[in-house]
Amino acid sequence: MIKITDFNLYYNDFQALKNINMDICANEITAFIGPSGCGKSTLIKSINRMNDLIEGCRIEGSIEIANAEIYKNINLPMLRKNVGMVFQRPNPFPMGIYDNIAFGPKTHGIKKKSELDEIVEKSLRQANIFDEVKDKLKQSALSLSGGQQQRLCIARSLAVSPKILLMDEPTSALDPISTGKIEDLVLSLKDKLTIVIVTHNMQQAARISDKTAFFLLGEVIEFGQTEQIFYNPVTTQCENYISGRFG
Amino acid sequence: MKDKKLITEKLAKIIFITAAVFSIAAIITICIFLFANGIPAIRKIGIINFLFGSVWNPSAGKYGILTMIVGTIYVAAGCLIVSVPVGVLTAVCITKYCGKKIKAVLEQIINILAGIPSIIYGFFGMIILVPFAKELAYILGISGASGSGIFVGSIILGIMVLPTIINLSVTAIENVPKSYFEGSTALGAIKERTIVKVILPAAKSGIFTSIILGTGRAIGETMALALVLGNSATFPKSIFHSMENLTVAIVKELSYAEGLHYEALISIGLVLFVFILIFSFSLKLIKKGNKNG
Amino acid sequence: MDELNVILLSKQKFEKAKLLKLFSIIAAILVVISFLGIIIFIIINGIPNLSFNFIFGETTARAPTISAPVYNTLIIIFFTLLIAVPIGVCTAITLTEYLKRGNKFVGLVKIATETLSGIPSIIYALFGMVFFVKFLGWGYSLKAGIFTLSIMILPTIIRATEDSIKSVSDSLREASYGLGAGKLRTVTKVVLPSASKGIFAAIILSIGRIVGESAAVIFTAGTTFNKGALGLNSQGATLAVSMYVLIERGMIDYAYTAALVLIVCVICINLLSTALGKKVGDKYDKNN
Repeated sequence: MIKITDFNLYYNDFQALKNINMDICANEITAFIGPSGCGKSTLIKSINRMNDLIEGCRIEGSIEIANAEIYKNINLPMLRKNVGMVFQRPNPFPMGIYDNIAFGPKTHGIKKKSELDEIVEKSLRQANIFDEVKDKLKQSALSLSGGQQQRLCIARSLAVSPKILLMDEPTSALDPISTGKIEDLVLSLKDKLTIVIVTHNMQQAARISDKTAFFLLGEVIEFGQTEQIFYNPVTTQCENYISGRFG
Repeated sequence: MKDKKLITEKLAKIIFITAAVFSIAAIITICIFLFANGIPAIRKIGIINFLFGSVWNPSAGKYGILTMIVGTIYVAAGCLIVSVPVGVLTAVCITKYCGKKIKAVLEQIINILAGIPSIIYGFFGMIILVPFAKELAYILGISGASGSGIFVGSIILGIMVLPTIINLSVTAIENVPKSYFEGSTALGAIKERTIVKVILPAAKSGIFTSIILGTGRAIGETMALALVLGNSATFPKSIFHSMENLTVAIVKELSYAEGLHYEALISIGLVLFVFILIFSFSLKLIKKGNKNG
Repeated sequence: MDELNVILLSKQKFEKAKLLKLFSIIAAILVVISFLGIIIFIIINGIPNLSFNFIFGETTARAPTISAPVYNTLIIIFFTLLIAVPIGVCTAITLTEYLKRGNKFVGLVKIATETLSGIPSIIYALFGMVFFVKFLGWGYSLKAGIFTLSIMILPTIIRATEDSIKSVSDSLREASYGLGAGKLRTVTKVVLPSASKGIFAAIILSIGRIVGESAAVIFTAGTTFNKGALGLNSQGATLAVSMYVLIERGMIDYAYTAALVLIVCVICINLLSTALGKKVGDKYDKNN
């Protein structure tokens, strides 16, 4: 599904990603783990080209999604429609809950109210938040709790029917109960989507992911089945990180 | 030694507080004198005749300021029609499309525009825009137009108010959290759509404030309009015909007015004063309402 | 997967929203054109009559000069600042150092200041005439103009001084008190010097306002071109007012030149206050 080949990324003179080679399979949950600042978020933001927004960002190599090279001649809005992103801090728009969810579909041409209503309900249900907000769809999204806002953001991303969902430490700003709800939610989405999740929380990675990639200083040190990474790491750095000797 | 210090400290405190009283005294004095000198004429003319009379002809004893009130409103509206689109769009350009160097140059230009005295704006309008407007009216088939009037007044006032609109809008847009832009882009919206559907709505209270401040400025502007609005105190036939507004009426006639005419001009000032007080008071209430609600 | 491939490689649709970029650039260009239009208009037409005599020579009915207006402007600036700056700074000190924020008196002063700053100049003109010229019997005089303008720029001085004083860090004050200095000494020797750049910038800004003001000056200080013999009691046009007078007299060529001098002054004042603004900004960046 996602093929990363010889991928390097520079922020001005600083090299944030070094020679990344990775194949991410469809309908799986892949976790990126590793200490802070070692490239996990940077790589994930490269998959939907959100890094383009950062001044001075340069790349080498290629990323292919469904055999289309995304850094060459790509329909950028379509890329981002099909590769959704959930951010570390929930960032709902300062609008009503309904309007937040409807924003994506409207952007991509859906105008009929009945269609929008359907999509909004479906996405809110998929994100397991419909029952909590169904009576207050006109209310401002900012009036929701942190955990609810994050589920709202997930619903917002789902509303444009992406094939891939990128999640950049989606639960690090949330309490344990909200975290649990979101982890269940992610598991439930697996059969329809390909999910890549960056997490600082190793237990989280172990709980929900099929494959895990361990990052250190801009390189992928190890990549494989989650069970293998956690119980039988091949490299010493990975083993040290897993066992908590650093990070 | 200690006593001397205490006395000095006390004296200083008295001086400081006296200074602070000065601004309160000033505003109270202004209110007192405007009301004391403005109310008698309104009494003599009759408040309904004054505010709603459509003929202003002091030599014939007519003191109706309705046409001037309408004139003030028209010019302020025209000013907004010119300055708000140009101002907000320029703010968008500055914040979203300009590199650092161009941004600095633009900001300096806007700074200087803000500092140009209103009489120079009026002069420019009078010499360049009024003849141009007269030609334009002729081309459009409007007869008898002098060129001065709402058209030129709106353009000049619009340029004068641009710095206010632009600066406050730029601040409002820059204060919108970056996360909104990211969230919208991540959903596949192009930059322009994000700006129109997410950023500008998020900045709307700041932009709205800039519009209110611009309106206040437009209502109170005098010298620039004195040179471009023309001279007739009647309802203009078109935007290219002369007209008068409240501030210009005062400036044009105050130097030679006598008796009731003179008092009536002060009453016009009073009307303006009260209106502006109500205006800024309402703005404050709206701001407080926004903060709480 | 093939479907996705096709979608990703498809051509991007043209959206109407893209026009925003075009329109916003046009708007910015309009702003620049307005600016250039006004500046060039004045420079081109004002230069022909520009001469040493015009600025400094004696005025005659046929060939007016702006020597008296320039002189009057300087006088008015000096005395207006002389009145407004001490009162403004002391008021700001009262509001920040001597009284607590929730104090009712502070609230009153704030309302007064805000109201004063919202009053348009024509109202100041009316007030100045009704109060200083007529009620106090000063007649049309520089004195009347000075006092009217002092009230007009007072809010600016107060607000800017307040902001500057507030941004002086408390640690400086604590250090001063810790050394045994009283409030007055702390304020005058420690807080004010630190706040001085901001205060100075506000003064420069106020000078710009005074130079550009016409309505409020016409009806208080009068419109004569001759240097008055009565000192501050004599009438006198300022530079901006002289422009108005020249226009009214139909002496457009001279009006251009007066406008040129006026605009050069205003631009210099503007650049000076921007330069100061930058310096203030740098200072805070380093300390923070």
